[in-house]
Amino acid sequence: MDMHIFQQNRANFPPDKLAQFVGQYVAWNPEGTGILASDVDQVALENAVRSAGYDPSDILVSFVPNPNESNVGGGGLAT
Amino acid sequence: MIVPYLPVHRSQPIVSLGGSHTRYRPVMSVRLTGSADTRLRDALLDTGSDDTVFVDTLAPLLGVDLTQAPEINVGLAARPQPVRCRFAQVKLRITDGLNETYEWTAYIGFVATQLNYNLLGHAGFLQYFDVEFQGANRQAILKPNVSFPGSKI
Repeated sequence: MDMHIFQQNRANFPPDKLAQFVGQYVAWNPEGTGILASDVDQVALENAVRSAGYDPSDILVSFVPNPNESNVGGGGLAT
Repeated sequence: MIVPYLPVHRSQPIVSLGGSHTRYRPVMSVRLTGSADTRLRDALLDTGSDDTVFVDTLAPLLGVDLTQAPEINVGLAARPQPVRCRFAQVKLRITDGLNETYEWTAYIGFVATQLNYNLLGHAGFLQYFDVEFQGANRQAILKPNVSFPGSKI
């Protein structure tokens, strides 16, 4: 995987296509141009990646959060 | 090492960003290597995290045994209760795919909950880098500092 090329391609991945996978893990192809498989379970996702002919150790897996949610960090829980 | 921010597109305009439909987050890819295997995962550069944490479902895929691992409860944003976090040593590797690749070993936490992003916090990650967050350029610049324990490959 060429990380530089991957990042450029992934940044341009159509958001409406990515939106189909909200709440799931996705396995990106090595070029960052497409999604090989998706699942809510990482083990099941790896099996799908292998079925697609890829080595899971070579594939970037990321979780697709709801893009309409805002993430706000904090120093922990107030007690 | 330059880390471009990851664009995240929102269907509705974002008021706090002047109506833009895109947020840019400092998310980068990290390779973790355990005793048995290696995996590539996304993670968020997070100055608000004391520790570097990944979801614990990743541990068995790496060959990391958490059964006897030291553990603490951590407070995660938006969680009503602290979450169990178990720590183990893994090898971490980051690269820009061009000129810079860094590898080191660190204790990271594995949390028993879903995360939108794995978190690259102070312990195990940010403590070893001086980071410049360039908002206008939508990128972060990481430079290993004097405490960096690993190597540039």
